Amino acid sequence: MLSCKELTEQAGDYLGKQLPLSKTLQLKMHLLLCRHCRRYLKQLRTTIYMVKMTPNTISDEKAKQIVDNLFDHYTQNQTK
Amino acid sequence: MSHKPLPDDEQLISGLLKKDQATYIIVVKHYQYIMVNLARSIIGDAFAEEVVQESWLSMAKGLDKFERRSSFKTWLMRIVANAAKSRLRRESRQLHLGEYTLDDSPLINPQRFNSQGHWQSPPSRWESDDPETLLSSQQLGDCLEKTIEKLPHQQRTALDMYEQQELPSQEICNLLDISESNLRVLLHRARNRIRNMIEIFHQEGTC
Repeated sequence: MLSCKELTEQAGDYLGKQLPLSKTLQLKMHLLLCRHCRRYLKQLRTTIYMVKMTPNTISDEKAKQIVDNLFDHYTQNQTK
Repeated sequence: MSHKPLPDDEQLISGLLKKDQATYIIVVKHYQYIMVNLARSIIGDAFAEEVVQESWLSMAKGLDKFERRSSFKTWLMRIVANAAKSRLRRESRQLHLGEYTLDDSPLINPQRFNSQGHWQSPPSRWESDDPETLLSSQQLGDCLEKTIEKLPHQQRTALDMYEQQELPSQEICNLLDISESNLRVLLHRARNRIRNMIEIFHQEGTC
């Protein structure tokens, strides 16, 4: 039977749906029997959603600064 | 904490072509962070900001020639990746590639498994499995941002492009010059580091 450690190593391929069928079945069988690994996988999925919800934009002020700078450069380049 | 959606490509491109400052600000606000991360994962910290600055200029100059065979986002990311790769070729003698050392730290502390590889210190329960409930804690939100910030560059870029920008895996692999299985490893490592942090946060109230 698949060990818990092996499951944690294969979980990335499992979530990416890239695990061969036989390994997927082994992993699912393990999950049926192991509540710790069910919790681990659930937490990994929760983590993914949390990452999706984390802002990764810059502030309006910083964006404006970059745009002003870009417009200056662009105008200089156009007039050359 | 959710993102304000961007206008669709047609609207964006039309605003950018008119040199509309508000559209530029929206685009820069949305993409600057991922562009810097992408540049860092190719060339490291030293030249990343410069490469991104050049890329914005190339975007502004080249937009009227953009043939729309890909999304605007993909096109923009390719500009950054190409600029970073060409800068890397020019500067390769000056760069020390400490950034690129392999992350071979264990996904989970090996002492948490017994000799048969089964949990002896199993994952501890979190206060909720619901991401929104968890993120209602400002402190955990801050820890999450800090942990993402500290990820090795390639892991952070892979995570950002895959989970947040939702770029197709094939495109991410092309941008970073990695295989699909490398990408899965990067994502899995990044997610595990974050899961480990959340677990510690629940045990210790800090990260």
